[in-house]
Amino acid sequence: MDFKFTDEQEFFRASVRDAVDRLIRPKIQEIDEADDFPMELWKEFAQLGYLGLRHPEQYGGLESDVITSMIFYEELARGSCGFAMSVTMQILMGTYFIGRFANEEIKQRVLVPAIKGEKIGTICFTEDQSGSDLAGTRTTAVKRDNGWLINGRKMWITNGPICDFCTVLATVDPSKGLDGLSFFLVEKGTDGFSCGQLIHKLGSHGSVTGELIFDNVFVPDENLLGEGAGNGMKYTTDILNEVRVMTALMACAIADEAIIDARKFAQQRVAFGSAISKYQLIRAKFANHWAWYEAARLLAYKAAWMIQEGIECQYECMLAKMFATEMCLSAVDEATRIYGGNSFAMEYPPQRFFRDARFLLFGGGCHEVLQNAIGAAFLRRGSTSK
Amino acid sequence: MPLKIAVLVKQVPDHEAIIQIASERELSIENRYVCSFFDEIAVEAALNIQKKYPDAELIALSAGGKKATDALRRAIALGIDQVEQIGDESIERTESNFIAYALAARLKALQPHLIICGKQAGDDDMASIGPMVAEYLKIPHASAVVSLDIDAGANKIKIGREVEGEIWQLESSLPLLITAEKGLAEPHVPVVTRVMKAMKAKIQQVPLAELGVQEYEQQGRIRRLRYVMPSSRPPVTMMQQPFPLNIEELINHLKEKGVLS
Repeated sequence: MDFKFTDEQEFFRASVRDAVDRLIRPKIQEIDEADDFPMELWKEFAQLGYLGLRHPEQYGGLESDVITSMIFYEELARGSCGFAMSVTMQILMGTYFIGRFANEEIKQRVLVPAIKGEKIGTICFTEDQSGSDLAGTRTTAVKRDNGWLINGRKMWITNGPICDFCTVLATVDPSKGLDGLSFFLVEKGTDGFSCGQLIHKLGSHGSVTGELIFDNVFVPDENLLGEGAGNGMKYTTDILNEVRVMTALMACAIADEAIIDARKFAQQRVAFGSAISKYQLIRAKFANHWAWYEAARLLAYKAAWMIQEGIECQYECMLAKMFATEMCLSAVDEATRIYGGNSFAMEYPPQRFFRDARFLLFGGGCHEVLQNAIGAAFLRRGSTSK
Repeated sequence: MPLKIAVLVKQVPDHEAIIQIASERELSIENRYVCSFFDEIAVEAALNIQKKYPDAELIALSAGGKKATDALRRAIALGIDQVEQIGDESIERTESNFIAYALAARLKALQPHLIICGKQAGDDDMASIGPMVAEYLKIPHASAVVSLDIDAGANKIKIGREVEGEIWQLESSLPLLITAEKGLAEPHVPVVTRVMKAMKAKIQQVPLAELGVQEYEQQGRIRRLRYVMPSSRPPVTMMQQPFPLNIEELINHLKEKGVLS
């Protein structure tokens, strides 16, 4: 076994961290307060080329492996959580099905500019009555001559209000539940496609989130992304595995930033004649965090490694996402306790970490649904828990 | 003959890395290293010259082991294609005079028209390597340079040094060594394709044996006696009154302390 990153991976991490430190970190507070999409930063960041991380070189991408991409997501989340949400949506979910299934003409029209950051993409899973429960998808795609007619509304769409294209999950046969789902490409300017309400979020400011409306939207046959209609679910597991590990590592990054910031505060804040870092109950918070943080990161990178090696790891990815997010929620909470009353003031960072971390709970499946699936899988296992 | 520019780079502890005194003779440094800030300015300055003279040859050199490799990878990520690692980890334990001697030995063979390095390393702030390399090469040098304008055809360079808020304009023939001050260039954030190239690059190594420098005095005459922690800062006294009443309070306080009479 080997728990070390290679020298090359460490160099890549340091380079991403440098980019985040210089381009994003100085603007964190500004982004949080403005609560708007930072378009200038987006353009500046896009020029660095990271948006093509997972796509083939022929389209301007980098074809990086899974571990490298996870290192990128982790370092990116050390900056603005909201901006990281927009970037990861573009790199991973927003372009995944186009990169994998679209024809050459669509790739040139949509994927190439997306990798350059000239077009913004998103993916639409969630609806007002379904999110983790994808079988409850009510958006429909009905076959017509030479294409499909899409009707429905999607909610909680990151990048939705500013997107130039989206990958929409719709059912081609509501009676089949998960076996009736398919993905379709819809581009801005298509008749019947519009943006609905904008959602004002508690945290993760800097990514814009809202509703997308599909009112008799006709798309040609080539916009069906995937082989045959009704096969969407079998591809969904692949991307959800990566999304869950990515979320886990973003959680690790936010937790680490919050705790390192709280550590500095604890070493400077004097109470009862000593820096509060000298007190055992404060030290216990750091000790517990350290253990949980290490465990969460190990789970996440192990799951990333399993994806890379092609090992079945659906539940490992769920475990990583669930455990790391809960660890992060605990860390940001403890950071506020270390800061004491100051954590309630908007000029100190803990409140931002506290707000940002909550968003991680829902993407990639809420924990109640994940626990149900993980628990059921555990009961089906053999005589050991390995 | 195209213009040839050599850049000297070094890896130093990140400014946020925790550095503690382990013993009188030894520091404990957190394993977080970055390319020295002024060395990145030197790299960027060389890249700027290459924009004016596209056929200019750039080469980056760093002396040391793994840390030197990382500094050179950073130089590649920033845009320099040719790099050389001088010596190995053992050179990091020698005096800076020896490191300058080894670098100069390689530079003597490379014969660059211009050598650029940071005005000082971000760790020990010695500011010694540049001038010492120039001395060993018997070429002129100018330190803390904030501007340069090179005329390769005329074999001349105009440079500006910031002195007490004024700019001191100098002119020199080539070859010349300059050390880069903040303002000479603004290091850019590398694009990912260069980062990937740097990750995969095979770093060319030049062993000390090839340079024939092993017999040279490695420890020099400067002895490092001990590390001493700076004395702790005296406690802060806050003035209690609001402005402008706190001015009088401050004056009285300073009189009590004997700072004002």
